[in-house]
Amino acid sequence: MEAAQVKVSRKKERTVVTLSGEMIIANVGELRQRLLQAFAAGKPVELCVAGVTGIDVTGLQLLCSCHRTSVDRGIPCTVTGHNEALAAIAEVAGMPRLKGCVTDVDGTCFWRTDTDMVTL
Amino acid sequence: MSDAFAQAFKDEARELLADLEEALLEMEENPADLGLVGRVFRTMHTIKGSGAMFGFDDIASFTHNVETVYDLVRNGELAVSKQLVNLSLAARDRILAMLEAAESGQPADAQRNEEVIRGFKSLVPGRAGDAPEPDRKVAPEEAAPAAPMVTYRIRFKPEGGIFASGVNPLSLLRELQELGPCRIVANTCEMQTLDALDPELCYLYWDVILSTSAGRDAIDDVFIFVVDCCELTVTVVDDGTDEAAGGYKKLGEILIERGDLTPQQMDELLGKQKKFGELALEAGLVNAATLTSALVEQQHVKEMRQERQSQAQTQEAASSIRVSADKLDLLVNLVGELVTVQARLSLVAQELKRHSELVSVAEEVERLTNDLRDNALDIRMLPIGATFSKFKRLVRDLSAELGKEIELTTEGAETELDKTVIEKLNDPLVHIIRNSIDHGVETPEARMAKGKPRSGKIHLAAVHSGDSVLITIRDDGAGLNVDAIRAKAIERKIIPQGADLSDREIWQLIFAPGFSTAAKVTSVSGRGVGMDVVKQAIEGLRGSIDVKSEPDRGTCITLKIPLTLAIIESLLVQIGKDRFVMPLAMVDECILLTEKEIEQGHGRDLLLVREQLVPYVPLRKMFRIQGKAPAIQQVVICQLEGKRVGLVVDWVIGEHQTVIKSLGRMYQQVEGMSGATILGDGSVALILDIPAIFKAAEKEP
Repeated sequence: MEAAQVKVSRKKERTVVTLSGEMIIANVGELRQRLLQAFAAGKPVELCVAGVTGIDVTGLQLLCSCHRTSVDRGIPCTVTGHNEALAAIAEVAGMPRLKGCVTDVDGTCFWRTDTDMVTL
Repeated sequence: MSDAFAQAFKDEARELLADLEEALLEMEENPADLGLVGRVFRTMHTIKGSGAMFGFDDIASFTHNVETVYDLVRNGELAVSKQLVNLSLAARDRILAMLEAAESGQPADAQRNEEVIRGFKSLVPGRAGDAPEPDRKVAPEEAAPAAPMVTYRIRFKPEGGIFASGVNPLSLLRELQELGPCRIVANTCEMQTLDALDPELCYLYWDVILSTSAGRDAIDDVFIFVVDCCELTVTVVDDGTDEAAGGYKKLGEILIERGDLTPQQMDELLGKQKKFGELALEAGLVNAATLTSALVEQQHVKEMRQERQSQAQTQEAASSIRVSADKLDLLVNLVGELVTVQARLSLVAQELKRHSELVSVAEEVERLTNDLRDNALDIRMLPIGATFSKFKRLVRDLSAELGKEIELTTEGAETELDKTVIEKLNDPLVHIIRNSIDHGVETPEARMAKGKPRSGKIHLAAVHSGDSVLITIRDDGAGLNVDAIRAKAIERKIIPQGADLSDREIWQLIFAPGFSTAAKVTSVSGRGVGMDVVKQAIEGLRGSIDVKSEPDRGTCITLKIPLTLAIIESLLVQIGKDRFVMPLAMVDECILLTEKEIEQGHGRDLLLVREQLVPYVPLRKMFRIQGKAPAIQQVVICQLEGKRVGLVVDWVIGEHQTVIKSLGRMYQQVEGMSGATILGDGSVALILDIPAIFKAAEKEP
């Protein structure tokens, strides 16, 4: 198993979280802690997923939860780094959708298929 | 009754029986496929009908009993069982036996016919109480590939702690996708923010719309291990019976059916003139994920229905069409003519080189003609697999009869050969495999004694090699017994006493007419007809046959068969004013022959090529062509049964695309010619049959 690596770099304008390795149940606990730290800075959060090599349902949930947190706290959160493998798994899991969830008032959901925002 | 008609019936019946056998073996694997049952029934019916018409009353009345049973199966009153398949296979063999009995004039074993018929009668319900209950395990509508597509709505809501038990919902979803066209929507409405999230719990649940013909059981099987730790609802939403409307339910109806919205709520919303989905969302009655999944269901079922409709319309105009073989033959013939005319055009263009326009058109025509030729020949290509699969039964039955354990493995079933070649290959292959089973592979006891595995192997392989296909039949049996073959050949005066022959030459003796080393004649082989017939048939296909054998390691017979019989690459040569072609595949090299070298042979037609003696045949002398040979002639050296032999001609002109035309019936007995072709200038060139030429030359004093 490839261990996940998280790099949180605090820029002037935003906080960039670079995720790599596998986002699976074995390390989602640790990932959650690091993501919470990223949001704690209060600046816009950018999740770079280009280096993610595998993901399971818990990993997908974590991404979804980041979005909820962003809406809840009013901190913008975006996903960057196109990742085909990740998109394929998200497809199997039925994540892509036309409209975001109840909390997605501004249409910032990661999984929306009708905007260019979809990076997964 | 005319013999010609009876023969036509026998030919047809044989084809039908082959088809029947294939259908029965397939039915054994797919007992619920009613299409196969129909095929069996129709075949039996045809045999019965035409049998009665041509005076084969025994076959007709026998088949009638079988047909009666299949009528019940077809109507669903009787299930396909192992017993039925076994009986049907036996019945097929009895029909064949009756057919052969009619040919040989000896009556077929009536008692065995009776046994089979009694077996069939006992299957008919209500006729015999003691009949064993047929195997009804497989319910027809479930396993059958022909079963209708049913669309299900599946809501899969795992318990929060499902990950702790090692379940990966993704793999369940993947399994569902394997069942058929499938749309999955994850519902995220229970998702939490990072602070509140326990990352090891499951917050998602899924709505899946799945169209499958595998049935409800297959869906339940996917969830069999998680059924205790999830909420699972499976509902049929479209089973293809309600086709009146091409579309599907309205969105509101779907939501109500799912229990996500009440009718009252919907009525209230419908009062407003907006898109229903947006209204429902704005009103906060349903969440977006619920809506998405309902929309997906609507779209999915609509698409499935449209597809079903368009399928019904275009069922006849499928992606492939059935064309009669005659039409294809005509096409290939026409292409052959075109190739000939094109050669002529190229020739004319060569002579009129000044007209560069003409040359470029001729070149273009040549390119197109070559493409057209390749395509036309390709249409007639069939995979050899169908022929291979026939041998499975042959091996199964024969090895059982002889008390041997033999496994047939095949390789390269997808290798394609011209249809006409495949048809002519069947008999030779049957002979070779029969020989392997009877003479090659030993009994289990003998094999154990030799320290070999108990069950023998016969391996049948086909592979492309240039413009030919190599078919290999390899067994791991006893191998050819060189001493026994030599002794038998001397006894039959095929070779003189004390002849010094290499192993290879001795192996070739098995192809001599009437040759058999079997001590006793079995039902399988030993009558001494077979291998010479094989050799003739393969040579008739312009192919060659090669034997290799190692004592106790087995025998390997390789057939080299040209891909097609219609057009070949060949070498064009000239003797006097006449031109001849020979298959390029057999040609090794061309060398010069001077008068001095002929003198050095001292009257024997032998030539020293790189310190090896090569026998040659002066074709001018053999064909009694008038006139004098040029001072320097040319020898075309060919490969023949592993030896190098030469043919002396005046000039070698060059390579030529030869469209083979058969010689008229008058000339079919002429030795040394296998056909004719028309050259670019319209003249005729004969195609040399090289093996026959050397056979004739060997016989000459």
